[in-house]
Amino acid sequence: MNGESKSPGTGVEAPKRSKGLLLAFAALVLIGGFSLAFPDKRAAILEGSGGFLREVVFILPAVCVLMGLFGAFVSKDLVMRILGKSSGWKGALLSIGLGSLPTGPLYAAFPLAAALREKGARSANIFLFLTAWACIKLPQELLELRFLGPRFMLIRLALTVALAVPAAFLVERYVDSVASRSEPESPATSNGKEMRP
Amino acid sequence: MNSTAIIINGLAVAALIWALVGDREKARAGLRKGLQVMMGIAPVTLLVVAVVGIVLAFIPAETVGLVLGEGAGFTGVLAALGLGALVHMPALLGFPLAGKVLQNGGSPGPVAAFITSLTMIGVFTIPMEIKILGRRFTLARNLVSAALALSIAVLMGVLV
Repeated sequence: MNGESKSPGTGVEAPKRSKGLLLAFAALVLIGGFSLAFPDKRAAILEGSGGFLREVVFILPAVCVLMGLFGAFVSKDLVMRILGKSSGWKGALLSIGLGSLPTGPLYAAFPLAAALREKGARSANIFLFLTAWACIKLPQELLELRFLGPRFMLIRLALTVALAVPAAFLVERYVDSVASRSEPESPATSNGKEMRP
Repeated sequence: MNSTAIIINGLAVAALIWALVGDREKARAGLRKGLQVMMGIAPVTLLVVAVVGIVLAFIPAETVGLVLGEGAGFTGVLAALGLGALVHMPALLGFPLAGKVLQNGGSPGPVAAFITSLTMIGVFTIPMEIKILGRRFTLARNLVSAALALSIAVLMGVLV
């Protein structure tokens, strides 16, 4: 496997070094440019970016480790059976359950969702997993209960679950229909050993 | 380091030890892949970090509170939805803010729109999402999530 090939299955390509440097440089230019153009905002920009950077640095590496280990140890058959095309409402429920347990920002769930999809989870379940992670996760529901009250929290929770399921199948229909019509662009569809020139 | 980071890192360390004890070769392969993914998303993540900080500087929490508090009706819901999608705010900050707005007589529709889109949609994390999950899925997920947040907010306005 050489540097420019796809990483197995995930579709997350390591960018060419020059492109990576360019993006990092662009980030610096953005921060520097805005700080110079709006001196009164400089402190707020540095504080905002600094805070987010700290968060990302403490969370993303751990998530990537979890994702890599999941990919290496969990069998494709298992994920396909419980979250794949024929998993039905049980698979949907399980996806919501899986997404509701953890804590952490939504972007932390992206690598895990990619790992699940690579193992054969259907798109609808990936959507449900991400939606649950975003909106239904337990620690956050407790926050909502505390600050917005039981009535607000329960009604919003019920609405979210009720509407997310049809939405998930809408997303799946779109993603799958496009994917089947054209080249397999979607990164984590197969085992990553697809024939690529 | 907050509790979220501690939990996730603890989980990763536990999984790593378990994996290394179980099958060193597989664990190594998994780690290699994890590292590869991390290097893959690192540059775009830096860009996201820059943009998030800039947006936060121009749309501080007080502004969000103001817009939410005065928002009413459908336009209020739409404004709150847009704000939630734009700003990046941990739940530990967003929910108390939303609660304060509600207690001060803000209407539930915009408040629901804000917290739903805040947690579900991240306009500025879209580059990361595309890198990891692909363009089609990302666009579909974010658009459908926006429709979802809108429906939830409108129904909340009626029901609460």
